[in-house]
Amino acid sequence: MAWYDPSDLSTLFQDAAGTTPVTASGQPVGLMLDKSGFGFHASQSTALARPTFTESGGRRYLVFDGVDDFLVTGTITPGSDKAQVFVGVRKLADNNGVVAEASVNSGANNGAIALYTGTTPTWGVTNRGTSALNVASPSSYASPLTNVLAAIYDISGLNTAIRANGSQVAQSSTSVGTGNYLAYPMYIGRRGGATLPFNGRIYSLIVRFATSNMTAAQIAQAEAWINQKTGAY
Amino acid sequence: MRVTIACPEARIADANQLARCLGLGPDDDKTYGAAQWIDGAGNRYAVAGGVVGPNFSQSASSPLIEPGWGCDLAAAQRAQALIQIGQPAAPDRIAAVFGDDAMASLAAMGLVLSDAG
Repeated sequence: MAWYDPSDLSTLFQDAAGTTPVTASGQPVGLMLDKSGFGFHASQSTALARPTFTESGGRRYLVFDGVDDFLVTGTITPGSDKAQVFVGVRKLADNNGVVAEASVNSGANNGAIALYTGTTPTWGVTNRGTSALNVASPSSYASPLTNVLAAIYDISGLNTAIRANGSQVAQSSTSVGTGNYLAYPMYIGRRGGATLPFNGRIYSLIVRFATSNMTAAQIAQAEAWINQKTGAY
Repeated sequence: MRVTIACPEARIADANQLARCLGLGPDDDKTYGAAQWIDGAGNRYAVAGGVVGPNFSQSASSPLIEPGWGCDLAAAQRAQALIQIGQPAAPDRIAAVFGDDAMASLAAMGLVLSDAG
């Protein structure tokens, strides 16, 4: 599990080494600590590729510029075939942009997941056991748009779904093959740190790998918590 | 203050040495990645953008000093000579535009993301 909360300034640093804290809106973020306790901190060692901490309208969030900004964690080793991603997000463009993705390319690497913006305009998820499945929302999610998203991934349970603002908006029971989610870094804001830059804001992000699914009530609680940080609905 | 910089594909290696020289650490030589942005003539550019300090313009035009983590100073100097502020992107310059909206800066430089990007 990894939990990122940009509203908590004690978790943000301007440099990747974590020596210079973020203290004001407009400063770059080179390190965002994982509050889950598992230590999957997300960092960026290249100065110009750091997202920007912003405080506005009573909200705190990271701005990803749609050019080169991203953060990346150390290797996360799930050892399970179920995952959920919760994120408070605002997209400012309708390009193909990665919000969060395990591995450098979830479409090509077994045991990987992704959550992204699409051009049509959609929100989308990729779920891959040994074969990749893309599931997209209806084409009615045009930027600028603020949503609380929940992505549900289950390899053996044949479930790939995306929820927006507390409601399921797309789901597929198509098989994505077999196996568990595998050990990869998590990229936040850009595919593999190289392509598909996300242009928008992230208010909060939770990534959970587990051997059990969450109940409907637990999903709703997570969405409600994210929405407290986001104000999407 | 935020800057968006477009580096012609042929100048990426030199520009990364300039970034390493002016930057905050050795990993700043990864500032310019693949050339995924194109101008109206089809020329390709690597783009970088982010928050910089108020002395960025002065530092970028001052005589370069090799940092403690080292850099190819000759390459950095070649890149520095190509910097132009507030100009459209072109193959013979490294164009830099200041502005909070990176997309607006890219439009001002005449760049769009290529299909491969």
